[in-house]
Amino acid sequence: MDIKNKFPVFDKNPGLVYLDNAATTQCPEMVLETVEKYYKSKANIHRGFYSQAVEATKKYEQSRKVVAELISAKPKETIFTSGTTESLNNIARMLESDLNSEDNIVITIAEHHANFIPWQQLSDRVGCELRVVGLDDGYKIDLDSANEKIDKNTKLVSFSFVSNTLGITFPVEKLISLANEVGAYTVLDSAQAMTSKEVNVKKLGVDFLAFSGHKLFGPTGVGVMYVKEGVLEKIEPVKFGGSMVKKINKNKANWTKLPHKFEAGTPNISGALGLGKAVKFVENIRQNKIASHQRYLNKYLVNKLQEVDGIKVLRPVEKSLESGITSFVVENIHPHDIAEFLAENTICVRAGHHCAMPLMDKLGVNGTIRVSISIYNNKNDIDKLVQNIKLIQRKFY
Amino acid sequence: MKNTIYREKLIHRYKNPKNYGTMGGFDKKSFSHNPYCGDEIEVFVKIENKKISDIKWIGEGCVISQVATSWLVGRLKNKKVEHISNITKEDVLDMFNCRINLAREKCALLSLKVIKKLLNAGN
Repeated sequence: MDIKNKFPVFDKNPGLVYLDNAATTQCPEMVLETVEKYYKSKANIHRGFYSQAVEATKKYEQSRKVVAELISAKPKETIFTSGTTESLNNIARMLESDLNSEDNIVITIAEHHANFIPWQQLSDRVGCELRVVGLDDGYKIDLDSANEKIDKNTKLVSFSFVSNTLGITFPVEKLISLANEVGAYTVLDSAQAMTSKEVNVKKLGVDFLAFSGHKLFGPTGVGVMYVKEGVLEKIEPVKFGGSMVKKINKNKANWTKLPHKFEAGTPNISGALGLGKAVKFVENIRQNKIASHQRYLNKYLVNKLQEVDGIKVLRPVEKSLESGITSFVVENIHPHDIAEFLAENTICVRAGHHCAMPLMDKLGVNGTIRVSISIYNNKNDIDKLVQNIKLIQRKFY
Repeated sequence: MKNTIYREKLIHRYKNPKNYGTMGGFDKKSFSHNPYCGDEIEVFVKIENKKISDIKWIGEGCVISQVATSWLVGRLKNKKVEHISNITKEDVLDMFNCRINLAREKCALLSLKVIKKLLNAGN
């Protein structure tokens, strides 16, 4: 499908090979138009009585509804935040009063820092244990390790749907099941899964879920924190200010209804509107088509890379775990040098630790080169990438 | 090609660094590591009459960090210790004769930082 023409960035930058979609995805014209349209008639929400304000409020809440439907949640369970990082940090703060030093928190070694550090910090503050589930030699989450670490004292289990570095799909259902057996909260970092997986919070039965708009063709600065209804009623907000209060006097305040209770201050209105439009864009194409395209190209990429001497692809043994993200290293050439040379040739990849330093330690590398594929990539992009890697190898070898 | 870091001259220098190796009987040494990217450098100096009579280094990392070190160490050999204070970050960046990305400046300046600390010079 010729989807590239829907993305203005490729008009403005012909020859651009954008393979850094795990960092951020490009925005289609319809999302950009939505954001621009809002700013041409800008108003704050849930406040004014004039037409622009009413219109902005209506569109904001419509966007919430669209986003909620994407994950099969209710609108009141779908809270707009600035992104995955804020969502996960909020969740850690909100659950703090529920934890004590006898409890433990379980995460995995392959988490992004946004889903590692909040729990590390929480366990430090509360004085409880942080347990880290490992990877096996086939780059798969070690379920035996998970089984052993999740016990009756586990209060919370947090993990990703798809690894931002290795691209592996986590055994989400199994991890949720292990957590449910002991009555632990489940938190799912869905940042890398939104374009390629069916993310249905009801089917998954997860308590919390976080994702960012800019990773599914939406604007930056907006994301979602989903909180299951039964849990929502029990937790208190951690961000206070305007829009979230029902009544306040000089001594105390009480909160307004869901979800606004958790949305203090003026949100990223244009971001939320853009995200709603991005979701429509994804739904028009259909996630299974995006996923299928990513997997097809990823397989092509991996096969091409594996044909080249001196390249080691960090590929899971079980190919069914692959998504559209692949990491590799090139013998005797620093990942930053590879990425910079590619950048000089208008090829965009990411090099480094990918905000997953514990994983890098486990893999025994300082960094990798990461290629992450999306709907507008094609075989030519992959061919150009591989050709340029061979070029730089010739310079170094 | 003259504006790329990855031109023959610099890659040759990367593969054949000057003054490379450890030093027995050194007077001072200093190690630095950038955990962000894995660049690391260790520098050894021998000082006689306030002069750097010998200076060597070992390291691993990207082209920018290693070539900058090779160049800087070469600049300092047989110079007075105080000479390091005359070398600025702009001097190091200019050495490459091409634009160094802001994101890569830390790589280029790692050795300057290490050596200034080693010789107790200001930033």
